[in-house]
Amino acid sequence: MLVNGIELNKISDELWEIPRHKEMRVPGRIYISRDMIESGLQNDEAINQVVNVAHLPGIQKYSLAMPDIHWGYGFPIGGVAATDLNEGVVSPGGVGYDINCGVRLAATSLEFKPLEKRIPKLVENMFKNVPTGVGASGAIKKVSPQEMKRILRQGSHWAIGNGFGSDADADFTEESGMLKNADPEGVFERAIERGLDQVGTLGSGNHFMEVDVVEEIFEETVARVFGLFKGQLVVLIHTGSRGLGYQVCDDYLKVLLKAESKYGFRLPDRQLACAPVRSDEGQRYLGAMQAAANFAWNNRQVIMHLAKKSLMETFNMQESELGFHLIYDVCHNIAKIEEHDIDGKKKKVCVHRKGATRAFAPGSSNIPLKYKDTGQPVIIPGDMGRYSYVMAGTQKAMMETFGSSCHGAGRMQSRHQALKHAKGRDLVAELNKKGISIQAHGHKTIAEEMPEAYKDVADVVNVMHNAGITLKVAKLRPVGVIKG
Amino acid sequence: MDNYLKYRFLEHTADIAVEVRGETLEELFGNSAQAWLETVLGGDFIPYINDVKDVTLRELSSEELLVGFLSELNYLLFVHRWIPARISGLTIEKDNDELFLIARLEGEEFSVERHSLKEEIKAVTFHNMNIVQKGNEFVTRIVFDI
Repeated sequence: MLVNGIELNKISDELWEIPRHKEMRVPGRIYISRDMIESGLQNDEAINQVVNVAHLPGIQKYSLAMPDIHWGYGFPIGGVAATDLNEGVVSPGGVGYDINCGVRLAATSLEFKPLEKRIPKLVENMFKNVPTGVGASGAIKKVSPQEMKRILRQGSHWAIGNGFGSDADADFTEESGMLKNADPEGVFERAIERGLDQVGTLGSGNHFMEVDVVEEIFEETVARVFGLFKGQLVVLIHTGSRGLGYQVCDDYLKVLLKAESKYGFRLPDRQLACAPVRSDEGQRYLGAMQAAANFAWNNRQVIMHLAKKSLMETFNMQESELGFHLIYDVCHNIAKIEEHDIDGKKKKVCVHRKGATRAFAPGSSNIPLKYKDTGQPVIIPGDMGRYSYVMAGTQKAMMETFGSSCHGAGRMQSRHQALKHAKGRDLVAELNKKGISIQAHGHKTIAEEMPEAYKDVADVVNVMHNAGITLKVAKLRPVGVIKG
Repeated sequence: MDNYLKYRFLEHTADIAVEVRGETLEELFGNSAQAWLETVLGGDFIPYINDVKDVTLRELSSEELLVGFLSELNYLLFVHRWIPARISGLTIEKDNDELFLIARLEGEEFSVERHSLKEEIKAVTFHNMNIVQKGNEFVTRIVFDI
C-alpha cells in the first residue's frame, strides 16, 4: 500500500517493510498493525522519517520503527537504528532532546485494597515532595557545579551515596544507573547551569509519577520473578534529564551541523545532523550524552526516594513494612555501543533508540542476574486514565530489533485539540469517578494530558506481543497521578 | 502590523509550531521573539521593564542565527530567571561568510509571585525552518520542542 506517498509492503500482520529506494542505504521496517497504519500513520510524516534515517552512513540491516511511531525531530519517535562503529555515524536526532527519558517501576509488598482510601492523601504528599511542572526546581538543595560533575560521572550512584536509596537500586537500573564513558567535561557550562536546581524534579509535559495497582498477570512465572502479584501497590516514575539533557542535545546539534559539511554528508533533514562515531565530534557528543543519561538516572533515583518518603509518611510505616524496592529502570531515549548479531556475526554497533525501550532477552549478559531466565522487564507507560504494561524481552528482539521494543502510547490529539475537548468538563471529577486521584499544576496540564489525547497503549503493546518481540507480563491500573 | 500578521500559531500534535513574518530580517527576528514570549508567558503578559541585557551572536546562516537568538532568550528565562520582554536596536549584518547579530533586550526578573510560566520550551528546533523572502516580506516556520 502507499502511505504518505511511500510504498509499504506487508511482511506479516505486525511487520511492514519500506523497500530501499533512491539513496536509502537499507530498507525500512515498521512493527505495526494495518488498523494503526490506516488510523494514524497515513497522515503522519513519521514514515518519511523512517526513510530519512535509512540514509545515515553506516546504518545496519534496517531503519526500524516500533508501533508507537509518530513524528519526531530527525528520527521518528519509536525509531531504532544501529550504525557501524567504523563507517557509521552517531546522531543526536536519534536520541532526542530528553536524553535518557525513561521509566522506573518500583513495587511495595503491600496490597492496594486495604489502603485504597488513603491514596488521595498519598498523592497529595507525593505532589508536595516531588517538584513538578514548568521549570520545577528545588527537590534537594541546589548542587554546586563541582557536585554536578560528580552526578554526571556517577549517575544514580551519586544519589545512593547521598542517602537517596540503596545499592540494590543500582543493580536494578539499566547499565547499573551509570554509563562509564560519560564525560562531564564535554557538557557545556549552560547545560550544567540548567541542571543545577533540577535534581529530583519531574518537569512538565508527559512526565508523571503514578501509583498503580497490578490489575492483571499474563505470565505468572515471569511476574513472580519480576516480583509482581495481582492487587499489588506499585509506583511508576516517568521523567528524564530535564533542562541539562535538552541543552546537551541543543549544543551538540550545533557542533554536529558543522561536522556534517566537514565530513561531506548530505542528509535530508537538518535535525539528522551527525558525525562519524569515531570522530572527535562523535566521541564528544557520546561522552556528553552519557553524562546527561547519568543525570537522568540520578534524577529518577532521587524521585524514587521522595516517593518512598511519601509512602512512609502517608501509611505511617517503617521502611521494612513497606518493602519498597526497584523492579527495573529502563531508558527510552539513548544511543549505546552494544554487541549484536549482524549477518551471522557478532559485531559492536551504535544503537540509537529514540522512544524505544531496550528489550534484552533471557541469557543476555547486560541484565540483572535475577532476570537471566525471564529476559529484562520492559516497562510501557500508557495514559493516566487507562493502563500501563510490563513486558519481557525475547530472543526475537535480539534477532530483529537490536534488542528493542516500543515505549508508550503517543499522542493522538494536539494539546490545542485536547484543550478544546476538555472545555466545560471537570476532568478531575471524571478521573476520581474512575478511582484515580490526581494532583497537577492547574486545569491546563490535566486537559492537555487527558486519556483520550493519547492512543490506546494496549494496541501498541499487542503488536509487540503478537510479533514476539516482547511478551506481556502484567497490566497496571493507575489509582493516583501527579503531573507537571 | 497586528499580532495576527506578525505570527500565527499552527496546529501541531506534540509541540508548538508558529509561522512568523517580517518586512525585514530584523523584524522577523523581533516577531519571532514575541511569538516565543507568548508561548512561554501567555498572550496577556504585561512587562515591567527595569533592566537591559545585550546579546551578540555570529552564525553561518540566518536559520542558525534565529535558532541561536531564540535559544538565548530561552536560556535567560529558564536558567537566569530573567524575562527578555522587549527588543530594541536589533541589527543583523553580513560579515564575510557570517551573519552578525547585536540586540538589546529589555526585561525584568522573573518572580513567582507576579508571573506564571505557561510552557517550558525544551529547545528551539530546526525542523521546517527555512527563512525565505516572499515579495517584500520574510517568512519562516519555527517549531518549539516542549
